[in-house]
Amino acid sequence: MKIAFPASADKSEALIDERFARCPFFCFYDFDTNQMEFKENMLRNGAGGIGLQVAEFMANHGVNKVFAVEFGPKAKDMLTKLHIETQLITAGKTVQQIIDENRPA
Amino acid sequence: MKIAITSGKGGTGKTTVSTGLFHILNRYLKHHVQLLDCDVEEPDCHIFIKASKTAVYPVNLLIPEINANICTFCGKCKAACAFNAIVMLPPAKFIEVSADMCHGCGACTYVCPENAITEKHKSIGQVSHFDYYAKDEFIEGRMHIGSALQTRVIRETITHARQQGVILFDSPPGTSCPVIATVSKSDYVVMVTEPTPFGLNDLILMAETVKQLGKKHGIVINKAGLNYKPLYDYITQNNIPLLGEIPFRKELASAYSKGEIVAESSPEIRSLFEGITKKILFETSLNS
Repeated sequence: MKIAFPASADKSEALIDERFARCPFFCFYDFDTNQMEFKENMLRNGAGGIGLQVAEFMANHGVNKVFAVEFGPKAKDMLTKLHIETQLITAGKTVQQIIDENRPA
Repeated sequence: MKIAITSGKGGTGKTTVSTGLFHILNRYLKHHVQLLDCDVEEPDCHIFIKASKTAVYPVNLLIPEINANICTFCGKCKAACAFNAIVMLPPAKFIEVSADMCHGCGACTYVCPENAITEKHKSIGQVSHFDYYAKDEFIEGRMHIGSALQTRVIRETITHARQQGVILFDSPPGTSCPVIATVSKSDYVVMVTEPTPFGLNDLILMAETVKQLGKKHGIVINKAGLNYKPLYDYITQNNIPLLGEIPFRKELASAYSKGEIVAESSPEIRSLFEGITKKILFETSLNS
């Protein structure tokens, strides 16, 4: 299973970013291979419709589940349409904490 | 002659002034006048102008629908879309236009080499015509709840006016796109403000905007008597015509809260509004 979530910087001790589509980085983590990858969010400065494009970006990266402090309505609807699970988490957690706490049993 | 009644700050008295000018021009100065409520997010002139609705016209947008069975996922439509409205996932044979983001520009349909796109009407708002003393004197633009394209509804509302006499636009507040859509179609701009720091701050933004648009303009001070001197200093320093001042009084607020035309609340206030109206007509050199 591959998860993704917004990160405030590209390191494992960074905090989750409270904005979903306009965060600076996305963290991808694949629980099958235990591979962590950060990608800069090149979409974040767009004028509008960013949530939709980020949903497409997640689908293109084969993400199964996305975590965020808050999802915009358009992003959430599109993620659901693209069969990507969404889950809310509380702010203030680090990238490493999110990975550890959500590791499949 | 098209006159836009604007304000940077909301709640300064645009509608009080718009409905007052409309009423005075109509009833006392016997001008041919039309009032257009361009504040399509929350039109409120109808509360004061008790007129009967005679017709409602829809404001439609052409929203594209992409047939995923014909689509080859070449991506030309997505590249052409300036509003990020198209989501495409070729491996899943998924392509969709978000009707919320789409501006109905037609670029995707134009560039599609496969003719996979058909356009369907989507209603985003409506324009209503009302008879006041005469036919179609009051026209209201109203956006449907959940729609976002204010400018489109405003532009369409303005096309409904007959091109004669005085046309008043009750503008949305602020200085963003909907205001530009309204003010850019006017010949003269009345900026309503109030003697408070907020009033002055937003008046300056508005004045800068109308200057850039090259529109002749003047100021009406509402809630006069609050004695905020920097507002008066700004008006003097920038040589902006002061069209008149409406006093800050409980009776006026009371009339407004009952849905009455403030300009008609007393003979004194009526003559004050007549003065403002005549000054505007003079400024626009329409005085006959």
